[in-house]
Amino acid sequence: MTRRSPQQVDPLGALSSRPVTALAAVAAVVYATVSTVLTRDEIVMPAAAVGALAALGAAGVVLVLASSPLRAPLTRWSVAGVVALGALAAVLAAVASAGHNSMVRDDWASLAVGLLLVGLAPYRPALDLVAAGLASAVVLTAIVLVEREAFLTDVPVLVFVVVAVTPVLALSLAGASFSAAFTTLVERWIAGASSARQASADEFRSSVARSVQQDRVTILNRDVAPFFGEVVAAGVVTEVDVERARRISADLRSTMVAEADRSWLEQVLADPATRVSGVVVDVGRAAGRMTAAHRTSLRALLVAFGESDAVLPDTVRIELEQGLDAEEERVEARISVATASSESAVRHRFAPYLAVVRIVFDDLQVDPAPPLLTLRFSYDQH
Amino acid sequence: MLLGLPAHLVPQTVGRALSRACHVIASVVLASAGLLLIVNQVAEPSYLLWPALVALLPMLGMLFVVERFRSTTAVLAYLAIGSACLYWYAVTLFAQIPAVQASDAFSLSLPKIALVMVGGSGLRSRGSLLWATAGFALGELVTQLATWQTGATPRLDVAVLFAWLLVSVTATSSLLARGRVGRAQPSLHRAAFDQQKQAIRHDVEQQASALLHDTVLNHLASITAGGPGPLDPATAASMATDLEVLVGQEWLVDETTAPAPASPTTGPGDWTTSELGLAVARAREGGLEVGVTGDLGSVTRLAPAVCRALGLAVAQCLTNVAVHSGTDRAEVVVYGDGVDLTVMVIDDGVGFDAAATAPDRLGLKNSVEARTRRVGGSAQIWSSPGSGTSVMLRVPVAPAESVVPPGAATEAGPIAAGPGPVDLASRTAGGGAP
Repeated sequence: MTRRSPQQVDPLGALSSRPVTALAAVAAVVYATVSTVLTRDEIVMPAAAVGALAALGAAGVVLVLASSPLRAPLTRWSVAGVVALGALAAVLAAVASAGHNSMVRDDWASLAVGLLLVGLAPYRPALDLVAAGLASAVVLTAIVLVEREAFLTDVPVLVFVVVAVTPVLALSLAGASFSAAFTTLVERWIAGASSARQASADEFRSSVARSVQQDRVTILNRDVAPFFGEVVAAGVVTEVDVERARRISADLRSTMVAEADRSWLEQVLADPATRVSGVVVDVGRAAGRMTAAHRTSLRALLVAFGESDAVLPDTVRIELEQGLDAEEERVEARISVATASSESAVRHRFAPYLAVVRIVFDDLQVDPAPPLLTLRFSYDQH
Repeated sequence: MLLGLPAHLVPQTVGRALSRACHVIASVVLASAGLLLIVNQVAEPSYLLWPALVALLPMLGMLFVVERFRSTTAVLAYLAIGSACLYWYAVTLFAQIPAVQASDAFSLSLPKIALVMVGGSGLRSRGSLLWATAGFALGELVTQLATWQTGATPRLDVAVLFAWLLVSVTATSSLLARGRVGRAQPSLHRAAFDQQKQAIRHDVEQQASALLHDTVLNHLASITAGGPGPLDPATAASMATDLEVLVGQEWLVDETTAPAPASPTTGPGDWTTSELGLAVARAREGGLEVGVTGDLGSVTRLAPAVCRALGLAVAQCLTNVAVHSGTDRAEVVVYGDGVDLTVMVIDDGVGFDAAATAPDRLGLKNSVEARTRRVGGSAQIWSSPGSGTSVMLRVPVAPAESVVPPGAATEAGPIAAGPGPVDLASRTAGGGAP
């Protein structure tokens, strides 16, 4: 079973499943409210009944807020919050009808919590959802065991347990299997697509090799070949030759260093095709420590800067700073660009790209207040 | 690194994952129905419930068939067989359990929900919507038939209606939702591709720089260091050869994948004929006293590309000793542990401050570090002024399949290049050492 979540393998897809998540939260609360009204005869503690609905509502709010693209990725803490509030709601609902609950099947807690867990499916790995479902099932089982004296039907208590946990188990396992199936399918596609690109990369490599060699040969023919030719022919090195050797050597080194030393970020900003430019401050060469996913998401954002008139794409400033402490293996990054339109327009224009960066880097903070759009995040030195 | 799915693949991927989720729900409710039957049977041995239990088995079996084949035929078969089983199940329950006397009883809802959760056969959401509706209708129809025949009470089954709503709403909305954000997906894919191309170009440029450094820059350095005077005939010859090759041949092919040079000197079994041995021999010709110790035999077990890269890197280290260290002695120590081969090049010369080295010093960066990385190895350098220099090179003994170019963005693995001779570097490496 894959350990990654749909949100990690397809950040934009998770972003677009937010309406479904919100719908699941609303459906859970509406269903619980309607059920409470229909079974009002059994309620002996109205305050607890209201409290139960409030707790479920709070769980729904946690779910909706945590799935926001501005807070991505959805953490395990949010899952724990939803499960805990859902359990609280179930307990309060049982307290509300203590001693008077005649049937398990019209209790809303199991289905409502199950719906919330389904709402989590696009954001968490399958294992988390299984664990959440099992935890909720344990709570519901305990409640049923305490309540069993009041039930009308005379059947083994195991029947009540099955009735109570079936909805939450069915829905949470469904969520888990959605998460696992979707993630696996996307990972498989990515693997296939990457190997298909291999062929074109090979072709690209040989064409690059030819053009780079052509460049080098041009330089060699201009400076080095005549010089070597003369020195070898003369068989003697003169004072002038030494000076010339030093100069050619310095020339070659400076051009070669410029290429070998440029980090991928500097290359992106130097590439005329991207239409973004600016400054990279990276004394410790920390850009090279980003993973491929880091690079892809940042590159997409930088390119989007270049294609938008919401920012001034030639004012990009990227600062990477390694933790001073040797133990502290994180790199603190700061990217800023001057904005050319309102805060909300900037936020709206780059929302999908920022969401992807946020998921890939985990701790992105965005400050779109004019005159600068500023991003702060950090990453491990891999 | 690719992130996310292209738009045209979203419907079928989401559809398949939703289908799988539906089938899990169906399995859970069927298992739950079976468990309820067993518990009831055990508690009340006078009931005759096994026919209902038997009716659940074909449904479970067909569920696996649908999940496995996802064809229209499988879905139709599931609905047909499932309806028949449901009828049989309902009749048994109505006849046997006094508590179950209405068409919306919990244990009756379970297999009805399993029918709704038939999932999609094809690629589109419309399909799964249609099938869920058919399952819903068939389930109700069959149950009402059983209700009517056994004289039980017909009622609207809210649970099943709820299940149908869940499937319909989820399937529809998750596919409609990709509006604005979907438009960013192509940019994300383009970024991944451009990133890969940039890494390839950078890699090639680095490689070119390393080769130039090993040849032209070494000659220039020896001219500068030697000062005015007669040109050593060996140096002159090597300069002429290098230049001829650099200007006239295809020399920029991948060091990691190019075939071994067809030189008769690289016979197996004897380390002195390996690239490493040649590097040491050349350094000795250049006047450096090189002591070699350790597990020399393991050098011959390296893959040809790895061996060549190692030889070139060691040659550069020895050149550095000769040019910069102020001593004419170097120690080469080799040891292997079966997984990695480690070579240390040690001198007790003047040393240098590794952090303060001029940024234009390409020797260590390109010819040693980058080159070792390209074959999946690593290089570490310890030095400080006055205490000599140690360079540790570690390369994998295993075949170079796991080799990843240093760009890291080239997540696609080793990049092969067209075949071609690469013996330039091996012929000329270290040739410029004084």
